[in-house]
Amino acid sequence: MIDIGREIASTVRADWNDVRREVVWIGLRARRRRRTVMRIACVSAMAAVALVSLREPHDKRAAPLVDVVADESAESLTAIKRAVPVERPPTHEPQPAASSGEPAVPSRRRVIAQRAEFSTWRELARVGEYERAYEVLDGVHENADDLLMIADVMRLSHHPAEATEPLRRVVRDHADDPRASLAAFTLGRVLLDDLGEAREAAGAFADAIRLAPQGPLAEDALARRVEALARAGDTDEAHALAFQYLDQFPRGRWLRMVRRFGGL
Amino acid sequence: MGHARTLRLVRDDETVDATATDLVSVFRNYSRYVASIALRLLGRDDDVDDVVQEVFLIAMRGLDSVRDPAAIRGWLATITVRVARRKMRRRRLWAFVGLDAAPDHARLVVDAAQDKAVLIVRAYSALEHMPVDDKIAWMFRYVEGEPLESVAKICGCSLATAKRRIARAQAALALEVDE
Repeated sequence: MIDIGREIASTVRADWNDVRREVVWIGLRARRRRRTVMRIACVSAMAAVALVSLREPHDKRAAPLVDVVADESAESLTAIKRAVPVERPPTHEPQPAASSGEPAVPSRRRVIAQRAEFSTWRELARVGEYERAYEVLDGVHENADDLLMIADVMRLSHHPAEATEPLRRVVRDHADDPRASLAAFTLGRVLLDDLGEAREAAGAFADAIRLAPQGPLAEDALARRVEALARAGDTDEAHALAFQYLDQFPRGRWLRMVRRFGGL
Repeated sequence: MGHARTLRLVRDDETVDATATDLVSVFRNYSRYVASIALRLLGRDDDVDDVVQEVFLIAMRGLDSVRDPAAIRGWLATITVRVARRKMRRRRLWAFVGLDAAPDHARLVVDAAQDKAVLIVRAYSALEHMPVDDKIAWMFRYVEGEPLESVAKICGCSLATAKRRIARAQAALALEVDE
């Protein structure tokens, strides 16, 4: 038989360039944040139930509930323990932290301790400490690397309005940079999703397409432009662009959304 | 960091530290590998990004416990198989109840020569109709070129089961491709 396995291996390859990897990474971070929020919500709900249960001294459900919370989050357990002392039977197991003479620092704390050593906004931003990076952000920045990093610090420290200026400067002053299209796309997302500036967002998505018409973000930018125009009330142009999307991407990922916003 | 940091980190011309076990480095080093496996297993491009994200979300939780950086690749392959298997089964269920169209495998081979493209599309059509576990085992053996022991480990089955699955898939493919 023909070596079909080898034929597949040599032919079927993921189109995995830097920009696509970047887009997937951004999506991964967003999903991670959503999951964290969901987990915090669940833990908070369980903590509330545990606290209510612990008010009743004879309620036998109290201790197990705290154990459930402990499995989910160390911080929540600490908070609950502070709020409600839970009596537990004495244990005779050796305590490694006390007996070894060296405090057993949990790994997460060790990481935070290491992070505390960073002082400049760039170092803080590189380890994901955006709020602290925002606080110490200083200086005048012109190059695309810095501008993109500043935009992330602004955006991810919950200052989306301030993120627009560095992104605009990348689009305007560094149009030759391969990341300019990504900057324009991000600008559009911030304007549309965070600031509700639909008309400006439509312009930013148009820039993203103009800067890389064949780029991997072209489809997403066109779809989001249709959405932005529809949200801005420009239904005619949204309708026309929706047809353009169908023409360019007949099996596109955003067909349903484009049809909805384009009135098709 | 978002764009600037990750763009800086994912550039191909940077030195790859194969021993790094933080999420950013692992993503940089292995996301292409995971995407490649996902594409070949699923036979469709539209789910690949989702699978890559899901794999690294799962991997993120276990990265702290990784002792041997050399084992990360195989570990990620195992997670990818789990995620892809779930997705393939869900797709088949959707297709069964008419909620999902049959995948267009021709999209995978747009750059290939005509004869090779036809061959691969036929092979994928055959793979689409065989049990998901057989397909996965065959893919890792003959497409990814993994040794039988690795296939068994990645698929989470015994060596004998892996051999049986591969043989079944190979026989089904032979019928389809040699016709």
